[in-house]
Amino acid sequence: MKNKFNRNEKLFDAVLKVAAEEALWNEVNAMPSCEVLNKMYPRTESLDEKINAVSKREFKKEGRKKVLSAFTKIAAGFLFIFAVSIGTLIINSALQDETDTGDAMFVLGYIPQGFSLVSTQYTFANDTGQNFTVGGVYASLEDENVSTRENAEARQQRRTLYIYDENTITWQVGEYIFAITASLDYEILEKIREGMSVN
Amino acid sequence: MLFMIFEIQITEDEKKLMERICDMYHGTMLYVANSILKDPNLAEDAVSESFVKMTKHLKKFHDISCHQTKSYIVSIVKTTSYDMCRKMHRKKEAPEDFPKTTSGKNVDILKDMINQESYETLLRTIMSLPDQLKNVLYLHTEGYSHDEIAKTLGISYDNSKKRLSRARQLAKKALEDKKNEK
Repeated sequence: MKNKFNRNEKLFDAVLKVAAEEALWNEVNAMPSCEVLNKMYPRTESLDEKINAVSKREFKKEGRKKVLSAFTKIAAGFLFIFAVSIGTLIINSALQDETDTGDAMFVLGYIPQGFSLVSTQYTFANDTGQNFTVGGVYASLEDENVSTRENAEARQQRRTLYIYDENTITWQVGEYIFAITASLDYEILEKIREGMSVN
Repeated sequence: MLFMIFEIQITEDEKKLMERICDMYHGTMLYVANSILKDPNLAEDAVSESFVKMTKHLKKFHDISCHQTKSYIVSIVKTTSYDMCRKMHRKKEAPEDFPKTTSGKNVDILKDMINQESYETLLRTIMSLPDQLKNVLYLHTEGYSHDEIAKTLGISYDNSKKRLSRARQLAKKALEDKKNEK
């Protein structure tokens, strides 16, 4: 039954198509011929100008659409590149070593367990509140007011240790002065110092 | 002079084709537009708008002197003219008072379609359809897709499908009414 209905519908569409073609043919044929109508309605400059004007308007519209489309694509491209760059920076920042001192003039080879960088001033801290700060300057420092204690190993490496107080170790490497200030045991400070090198 | 603007958009061959179409059919287009708009100036406006619409389908014009080309051009001009008419008088689009689809399940129209009298009824119905529906039916019969019809007539894709469906419904209804008369 359904097949018969579908068949009937398709046949109706086919007949409708034939009838529509014939109706259109009849309608167009009922009009005077092109030659007669061309004489009745001669082509004028005014018509040509209007066609040109409308075409110009359409061309501008199409042109604007194309330009807008191109700009949108370029903007989307830039946005994509920007998003990828930001994403990369964020990922890099997240993956960055907690001990990375970036552009500092020194490199830390040893960080006590549990400590991480907490400020741009190269202060490291752990969960229990202990902290240490590492710093460096480019200078030849000869402070006569500082008591000096030479360390045999440091002498071998042509470095001089300066100790200000129990919480700070200061020493010179070439033309650089480094210092570690910490509320830590001296042994730990010493380990940190030994792991440090010029960047 | 004509189509200077087209120089940038269309090829030399297409330009010549448009020139020939303009030469051959400008009278026909103005005649159709004038019969609807009753104003020579507006008729020229309608013809110029129609021309621009036609440029988008130049590849379909294989033989500009054939009946199909003439029919296509007439359809476009009629639709453009009616659009202008509607905008001027701010009339609404075709009213939604067309009959609902007949299911056709209980009507065996196949037998009736073969009958010459019924075919004539169908023909008359098509010719008396509102132009909005008729033009879509004509273009669809000529092989244009709904997308192409929509772009040509300046209507939406859905509207094109709807109008074709309505034309079909009216044609069917006419056949049913004819059958019921007997």
